[in-house]
Amino acid sequence: MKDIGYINRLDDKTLEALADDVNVHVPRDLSAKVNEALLAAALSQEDSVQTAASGRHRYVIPAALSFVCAAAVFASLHFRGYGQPEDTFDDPYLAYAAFEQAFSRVSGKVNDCARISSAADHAIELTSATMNRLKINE
Amino acid sequence: MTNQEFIDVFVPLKDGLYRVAFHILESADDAADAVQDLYAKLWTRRDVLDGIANPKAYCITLLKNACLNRVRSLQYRNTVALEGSGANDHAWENPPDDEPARKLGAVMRAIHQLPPGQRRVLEMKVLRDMSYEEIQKETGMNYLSLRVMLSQARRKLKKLL
Repeated sequence: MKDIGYINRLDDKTLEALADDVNVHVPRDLSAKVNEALLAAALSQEDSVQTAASGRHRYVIPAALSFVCAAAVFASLHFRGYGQPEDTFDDPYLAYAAFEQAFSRVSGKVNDCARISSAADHAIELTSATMNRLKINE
Repeated sequence: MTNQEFIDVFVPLKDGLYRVAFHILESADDAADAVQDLYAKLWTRRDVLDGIANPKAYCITLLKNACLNRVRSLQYRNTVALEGSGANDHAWENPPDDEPARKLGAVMRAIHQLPPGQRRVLEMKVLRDMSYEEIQKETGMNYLSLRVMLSQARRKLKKLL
């Protein structure tokens, strides 16, 4: 193995001359080895592209569901009169009770959203597993 | 750059690249490994290879740098092994940035274990991007056998990995 200083000093012209030196024996199986490397790279890339794609799709449906849930919460609060809440209270206890009531409703809706999202996650995993199985059987 | 263009332009350079690697590394196995690694890297970058005016010079430069990295890595390993300082004893065995290379090595070993027929059709499908009809013409296999063989090859690879 040549030392680092020597390798650094190799200029383009010398390197090209080395590449063209037909006196250096090239192993017969080099072609097969190169093909193996290319196939491995192609398969790895194929795999990583699929993983990335499935990773992206994994979040699309939960994100959409979350958005729908948030919109539903907003709409339900708005149409039940929470769109124009009383914002001034003479009695601080009444103000606190109004706050508490509003947050308990929001909390309930958020829990509903989490439940729906969790159920969807299971369905997505099932679909993904089925797709993988189909891919294997392809 | 398409798969076939890559194969037509870059693969014929392999002998010259091997000679350069062999001159620097002075070992047939190391030189072949360096050339394999280079081609694996080039394949993943083939989308940007269209703009390369001189593929030979480009590959030689990349190979020189790859060989330099190999020499540096080996020197580092030797240094660490000589120092033999407790927790660092095995640090070089699993460098954190070596994961893609290790994965690629595992895939290559798995490919090596495939029967030649399966390897050939997989190469045609994945590497050369050939259609089923084209592979059928070249191999003389019928459609169903071809699909089965490809499926078996992929399944075996998954199992081996």
